[in-house]
Amino acid sequence: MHIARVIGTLVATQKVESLRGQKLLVIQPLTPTLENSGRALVAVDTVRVGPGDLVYFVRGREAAHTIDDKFNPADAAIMGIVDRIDL
Amino acid sequence: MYIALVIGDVVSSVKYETLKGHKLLIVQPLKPDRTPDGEPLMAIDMVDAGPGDTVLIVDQGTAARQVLEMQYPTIRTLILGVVDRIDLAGGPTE
Repeated sequence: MHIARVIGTLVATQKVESLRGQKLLVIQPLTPTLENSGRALVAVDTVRVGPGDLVYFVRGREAAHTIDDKFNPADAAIMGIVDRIDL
Repeated sequence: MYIALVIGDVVSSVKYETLKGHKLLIVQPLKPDRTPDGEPLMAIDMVDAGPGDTVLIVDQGTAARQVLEMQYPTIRTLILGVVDRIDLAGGPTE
């Protein structure tokens, strides 16, 4: 999993059936010291976050498994909110 | 599996259900000579590791399927062991 900042929301009325009802967020991956790390991406939300929140997310097939219908094409999912990082 | 150094921890009170009860650590992947290799990432601790420990990690969902007994894994990065010693052809690194 990686740390990220939620930088926006994304609306797609027309989308594949298996992503219906999923909230899509635009996130910017960060290093543990909160510097930008790579390009922004779109992730499904599992924990009701919003723009500005510091979160962590999982990439790959494991992201799709957060949705009830496991057979879906999501490749990133927000897994929690960061309260604090101790380095 | 590869080698990493635990460099910190993350406190998170709001998390996805499968993560509840698990300790979240930040690990820096290492080359076998213990120099950093790539970006740090977050891992689930299975062995009571802590900051400063050199650990053995895996980054694949099928590993979580086996270790955490999840049919549809939502976790992919796990700390599987604390490294006591690495012996390389050039000599040991404690």
